[in-house]
Amino acid sequence: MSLADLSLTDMLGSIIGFFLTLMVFSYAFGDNAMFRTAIHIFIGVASGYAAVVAWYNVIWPQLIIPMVFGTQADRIDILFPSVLGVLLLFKASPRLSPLGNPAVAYLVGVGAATAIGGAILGTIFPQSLASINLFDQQNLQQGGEYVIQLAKGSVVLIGSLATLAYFHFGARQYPNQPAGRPKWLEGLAWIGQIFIAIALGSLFAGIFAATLTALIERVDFIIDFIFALIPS
Amino acid sequence: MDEVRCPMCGKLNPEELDTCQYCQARLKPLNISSAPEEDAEITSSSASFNETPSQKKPPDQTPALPEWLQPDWLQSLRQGSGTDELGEIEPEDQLPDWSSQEVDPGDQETESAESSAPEDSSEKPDWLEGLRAANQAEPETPSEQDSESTYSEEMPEDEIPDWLQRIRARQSSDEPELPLEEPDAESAEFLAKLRMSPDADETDSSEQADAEEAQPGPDEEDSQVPDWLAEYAESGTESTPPELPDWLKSDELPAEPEDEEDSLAEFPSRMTPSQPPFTEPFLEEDIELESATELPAETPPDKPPFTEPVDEEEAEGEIADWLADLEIPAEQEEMTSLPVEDEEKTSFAFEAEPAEDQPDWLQDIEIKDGISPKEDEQDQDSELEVVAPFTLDEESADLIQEELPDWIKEIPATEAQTEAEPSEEAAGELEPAELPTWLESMRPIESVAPSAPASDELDQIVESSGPLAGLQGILPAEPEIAREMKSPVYTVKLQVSENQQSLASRLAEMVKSEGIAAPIPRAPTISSQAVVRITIFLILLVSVVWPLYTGDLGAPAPELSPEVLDAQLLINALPDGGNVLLAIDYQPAYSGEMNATTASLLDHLMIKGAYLTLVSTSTTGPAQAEQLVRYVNNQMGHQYRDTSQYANLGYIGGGLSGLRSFAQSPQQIMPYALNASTADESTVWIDGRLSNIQALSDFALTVVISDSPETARNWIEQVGPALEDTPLLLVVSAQAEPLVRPYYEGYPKQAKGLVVGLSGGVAYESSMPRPGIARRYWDAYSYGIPTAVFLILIGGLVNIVLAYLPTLKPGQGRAKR
Repeated sequence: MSLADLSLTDMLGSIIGFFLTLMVFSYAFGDNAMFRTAIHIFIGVASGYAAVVAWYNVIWPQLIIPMVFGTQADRIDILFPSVLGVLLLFKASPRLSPLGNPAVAYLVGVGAATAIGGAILGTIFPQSLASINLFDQQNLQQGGEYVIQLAKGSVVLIGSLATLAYFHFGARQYPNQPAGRPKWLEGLAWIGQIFIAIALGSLFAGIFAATLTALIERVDFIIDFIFALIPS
Repeated sequence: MDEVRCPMCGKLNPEELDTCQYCQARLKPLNISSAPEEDAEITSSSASFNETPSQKKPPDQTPALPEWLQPDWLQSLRQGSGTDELGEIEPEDQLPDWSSQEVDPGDQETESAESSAPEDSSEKPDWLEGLRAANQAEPETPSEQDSESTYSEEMPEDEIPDWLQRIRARQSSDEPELPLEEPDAESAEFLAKLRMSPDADETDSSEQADAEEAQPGPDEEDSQVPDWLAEYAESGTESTPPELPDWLKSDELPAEPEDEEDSLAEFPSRMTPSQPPFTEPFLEEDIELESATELPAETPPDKPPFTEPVDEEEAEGEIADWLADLEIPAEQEEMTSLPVEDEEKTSFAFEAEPAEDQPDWLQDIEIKDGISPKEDEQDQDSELEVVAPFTLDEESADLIQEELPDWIKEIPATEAQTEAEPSEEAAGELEPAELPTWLESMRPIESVAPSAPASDELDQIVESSGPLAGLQGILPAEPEIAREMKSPVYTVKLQVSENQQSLASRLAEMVKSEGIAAPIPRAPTISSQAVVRITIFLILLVSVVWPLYTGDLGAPAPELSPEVLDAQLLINALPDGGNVLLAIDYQPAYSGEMNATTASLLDHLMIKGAYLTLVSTSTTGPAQAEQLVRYVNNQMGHQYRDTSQYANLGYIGGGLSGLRSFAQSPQQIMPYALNASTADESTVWIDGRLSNIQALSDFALTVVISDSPETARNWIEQVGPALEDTPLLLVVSAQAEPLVRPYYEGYPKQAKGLVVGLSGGVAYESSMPRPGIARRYWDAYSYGIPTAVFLILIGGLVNIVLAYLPTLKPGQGRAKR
């Protein structure tokens, strides 16, 4: 594909993208001005696009239109959020900041409730049930590999308990000994450290894979751009 | 050779010298008077003053008494006989020994001054004898009477003292009385005369016998009671006379008449027999130094000479008695003992006369006390302790020494010597102990080091004010506790070892350097870190560029994993034209990976003709969604361009709350589509393909595309309960897989399908009939991952080697860290 086949915007975008990519690659030689320029451009563009999206996706359709073009019922519905929104604006002033506290408190309270509720209902309960169901006979019988599944379940169970034990920091005072955890808990915590280390290692591998893929995509873009500049 | 004592410094000088060889004071006063007799008197008095105590003083050198001290009997004698009473003084051979003294042959004054001494060396003045006789009102003993008469009648002229001669001359010529001589000269002569010299005593002992013959009898003594004493007795009060000292109380002595007692009551204190000079303090049991020191003050300037010859036997007996009655206690002995060596310190410079010069009676006493004269001389060298309240200078001490008779000086000295002997003997017996070597080594340092003897600080304090000024050893008026004292300063020296000192100095440097900004070292242009980083980048770049440039290198595709298969099955199960909710929640930085992962799945959905509803909880999500649709359109040849194929609802604000709200009422939260070209098309919830969607559960499939595990979890937690039977498909980045997989692996499954990273995309793409871009990246990915692993291993080994290399030494094993 050549640049001539691209539209003007795509061509400009490709050109800008090419140079920005090279500027970011310059970080391989250390922190420099080109890399910082590319980063600043990205942050600016992202902030501007976010502001535009916030206006077009939040303020205009959910505040302005109901208030201006909506019915009375719509205006009543939008009254309370509008008042909280206005109070939240006072947070920008140090002197008038206390006026925005009710809005912040509402947001924090609702957000905490949503998060906690979702975590409990969406993660803790289901995951705990899933860990228990690993030893469900009906599930094991369904699979052919009963022992493997049972072992897998045991590993998962031990790993879960050991990881939780590792994060247990309660200590007990023993005579003529410094305060510390019981020895059996210390051993279980040591096993938990192994599982945590494995988890962190897998995370690192995934991060490296993702960044490598990003590198491959950018290199491919540069090669395509270079080849596109070359007249065929 | 005769020596003369200097009147100033008190040191002995040869007699021929006119001035002292030490202080240059005149030894022989100048004779200024015109009268030859007066000159003779003056010279004789000065000679007597300068003479040593050992020398005998002629009786005529005694100072002339003032008129008020001249007894009436003396005056009467002068008037009656026309001569002085002293003219009746017994001749020289009858005078006691002390009255005559040894003089140089060339000294005519001394020869003329040689006259019978009024008394012997028993230091009893004649006037005192007269007082006794007057008090007792008894006829004098014949010996005394005879002595008086013989003393005044039979004394040759050349032996008559000068003062007596003057008196006679006045009386004879009716001359006005000569002015009294200076008390000092008279007192000096008198005092000198009082000093009993041993030599004079010895020579006088033979004369005492003659003197006794000349002593008047008791009848004569009665008549010789001095009138001045009788006058005082008449005019005196009726007070009882004071008690006489023991030495005056004698059986031989006549009883005192009552009249005379009354008459003597008014006598001056110093003239009363009860207070004889130089005797009372020594007769009492408690010898007081104060009384002794008062002796010089109380001593009258003009003392009558010892004019009354005293019977030698009586004198000896009396002296012996009163002297024997002396019972000096041991305490007083200590007080009266004097150091003989240092004459300056002592208040009483009692000279220990040589034993040869001491009178016989005194020698007898010493022998009686068990102390031989020779021993006495030996012990005189020992240091005698004296506790004197007053310290006199050398001159005054010498004066006192000259004033006091010899018998007074000798008594305390001898008694003090007895105390010194036992102390010396006790000190001589003690020997220092010899400690063994092992004990000596254990001896503390404090005991070895010589320390000053402990002394009471109070003894060192000298009073500076008040009536006790100048005294030493006085108790302070203020208690010690009330004194303002400076509190002692105790210095504590901390013992610090060298190691501790070095550590402390190091810590101090660290603390000190905290406030000081350390200079930033200039980084080198090309460092080892930069070289390593560039090398790694180039290696990875080559491993990625080469497969991309060369094309398909035949890297094997990954197997179709169960999670990918489940995802594929879910999409296959969608009805044609079904509504699919796509949540585009990844960052632009991960768009290359996510595009490669999602492209095949999105292509599959497009092939199924599904209506795509794009939403996002990130601000860049709508843009990403647009770019993804366009990318798939371009790569796969699809035509998803307007709201009839897909609806980009945009950004869901509010985070978790917004997502929760969207899950409950999606139309109210996301009413408009961003990709609508007209206003009418924006209302997809009313007229579009979403008009039959009331809740999220009305969608056929929900696909969450995210690069972050948190975003995926939020969708699962908030939207999952609202989906009910609508399956949830997760398309995540490789970095989110560890945290997202439990949602797929758990039972019941919260996520029905899972596509993870480029490998999942490649696996999903491999199941599709059309190749995608994921397979293109897979070769480079396949070469890049091993290269990275290789680099990590090489780097780790190099670091291990570099860490242990400095500690490794030849011939040794692995060093322990």
